Amino acid sequence: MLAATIVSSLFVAMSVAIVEQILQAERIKHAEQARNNLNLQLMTAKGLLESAVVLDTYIGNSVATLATVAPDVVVSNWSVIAGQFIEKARFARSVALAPNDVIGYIYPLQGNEKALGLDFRSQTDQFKAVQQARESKDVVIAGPVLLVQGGRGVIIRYPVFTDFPLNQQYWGNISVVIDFDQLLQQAGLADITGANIALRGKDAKGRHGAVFYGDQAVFTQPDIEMPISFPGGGWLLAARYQKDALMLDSPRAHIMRVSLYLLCIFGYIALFVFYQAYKRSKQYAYYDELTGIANRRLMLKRLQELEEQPSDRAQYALLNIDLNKFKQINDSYGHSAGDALLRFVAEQLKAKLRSSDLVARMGGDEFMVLLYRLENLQQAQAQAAKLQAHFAGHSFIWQGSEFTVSLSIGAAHSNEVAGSAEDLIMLADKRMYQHKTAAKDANI
Amino acid sequence: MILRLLLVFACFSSAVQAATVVRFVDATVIRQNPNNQYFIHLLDAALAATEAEYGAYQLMPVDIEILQSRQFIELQKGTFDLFWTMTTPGREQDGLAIQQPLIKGAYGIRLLVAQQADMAKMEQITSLPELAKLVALSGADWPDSAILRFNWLTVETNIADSKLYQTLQQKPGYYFPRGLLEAGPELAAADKAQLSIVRHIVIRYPATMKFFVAKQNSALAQRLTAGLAILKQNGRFDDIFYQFAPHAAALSHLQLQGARLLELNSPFAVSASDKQAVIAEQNSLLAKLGVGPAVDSK
Repeated sequence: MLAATIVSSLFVAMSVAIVEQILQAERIKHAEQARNNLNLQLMTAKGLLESAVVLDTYIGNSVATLATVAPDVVVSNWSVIAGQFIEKARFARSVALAPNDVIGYIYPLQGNEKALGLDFRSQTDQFKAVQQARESKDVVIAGPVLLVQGGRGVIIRYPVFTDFPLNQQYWGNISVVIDFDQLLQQAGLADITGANIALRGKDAKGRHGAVFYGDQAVFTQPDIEMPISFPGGGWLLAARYQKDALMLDSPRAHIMRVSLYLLCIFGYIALFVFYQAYKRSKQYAYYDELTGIANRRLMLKRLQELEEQPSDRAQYALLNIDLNKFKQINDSYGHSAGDALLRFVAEQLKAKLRSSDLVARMGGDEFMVLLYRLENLQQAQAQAAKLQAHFAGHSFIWQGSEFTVSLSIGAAHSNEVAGSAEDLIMLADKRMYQHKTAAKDANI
Repeated sequence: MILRLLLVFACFSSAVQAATVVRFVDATVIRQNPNNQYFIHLLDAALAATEAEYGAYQLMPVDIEILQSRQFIELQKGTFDLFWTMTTPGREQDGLAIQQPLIKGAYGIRLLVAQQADMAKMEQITSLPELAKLVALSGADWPDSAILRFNWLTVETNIADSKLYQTLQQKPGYYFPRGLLEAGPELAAADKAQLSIVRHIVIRYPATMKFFVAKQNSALAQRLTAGLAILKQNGRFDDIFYQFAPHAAALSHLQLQGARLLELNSPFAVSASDKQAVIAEQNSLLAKLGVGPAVDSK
């Protein structure tokens, strides 16, 4: 009972430990997966943002180059040239040509009328970018800024010089407005769940620029930072995981826990059933299937136990009992008769002997009785005689016929042999055969 | 908003009986610009010319100063019914413009005011690139500043409007482009003795003054269009223009015969027909002054 309690407690403890361990591992794995998934989405967004800006910048460059070579041509053919550009570009929503930094031409005109005549010098923020482009003689990507027309735009500013490659004669600038809201939507930043995302680097200043998307708190301790690079600078994308979003969600965790514990319970039950079966099979290992009494294995086991007892040895005796004419009955009346006879003998032996004595079927028609606490051989022989007498008076009845049970019994006492139980068995055996031979001779 | 619509509706439905009230911004007194009266005369005449067809009217001046940036908002709100200003494509989105140039593009004809000391130098100029070497004075938020720069002229816009004449008088090397009808009267005023108008150069760009009404006020727009057309047709338009005292005085004092006309483009002039119309009117005005023919800007 104690052993069972200890084993059970151990099982419970182990189950809990293992289940929680599994859940923890699952949690970690899930968080890992969520993180990887987020990373992938962020990288995709980064790629989209970069390629979009770079592509439109590249396409716009052709207009800037044309303006450098032949500004009059660009002016005269403005709607065609600008129209082609807008069609090819992905996110550009308008393009403006500003000779001497005053917007004189804009495409498309509709919706952008207010930009006409805009003198960049009067708009400090915008003029900074224009001047920067002029001074660096390179494209500048400014913004995102709020557009007069509504929405937000990123503005690509190309400086136009008429004396390429010296670039001293400044002609003016070309400005391309990129639909920033559309760009963001394509990049799918808003669709990313499980992390807070922010962008900084207004006016392509990267890490040093202002935050223009998301919460700036993300930049204080970001989990991921990704630079977004394009000509003239870039932005910085940062993400901070929402810890709860990474965790294995509660319902799932509970389901897992419940299923795993159920598994453990089943395991326990299985173990229990197995143990019971094991015990039972052990049981069956020691008992004869036919008669239900002990078998050879158990008898030998008990003898072994007696052998291992301390020096003032137990006093015990063995009776080796053999059924005479068993074979004849089996042959004449069939196996069922033989089986019934064996059962009959076993029953009677058990009934006649003490419950503490062991009655075993050793095999075939051979029985052995282990008499505990007998002082000498005579007592054993007396027991043997008693048994003989009993069977003489109790016949075996099979399908209406009566048969007298004839036994050959050989007795041996433990103090007769100095050696092992084996010797005692051999002695009992020998005596049994003596008895049997005598009986045969006498034709009983 | 609903109240205003009901009022307008009431006005329309009883147009025959009640007079159309036309409220307009008149900051003549505040701004001390008598030239503004011209537009009021023109407005009056256009409404009078259509009285038979459209009914009685009543002009009601609203004497408040409104920032240019708020004009269109107040117009749409119904604070007043009409005002006049230089048109741009952006402005024509914000309000309903009556498509007749009001002052023969006079604001787009600029005379160069400069110091006496710079006069000799200025009279030598024959092209825009040469003019670009000098510095024009202009207000920071004036559309004229953008137009001048658009034509590669050098413009100084960091001086307060009120201090522009002062700067011109004190510092050499500047010129101040003033409207055809403004220059003379302005110089006639006191303490502008050292300044005068350059006689041999006139610059011109298409700039059109138009009447604007609220976008939904098609009734008034139609009436004024018809009225102005009548005035153009029967010659009353020119009469009003030339007989307006300040105009007459300005024009009579100008000595511009044989002056070279330097042609400028305007980033605001998108409509080809608009451009043609105002240039034609400017040309007729210039012809009267003996200026022209036009010299290409390049």
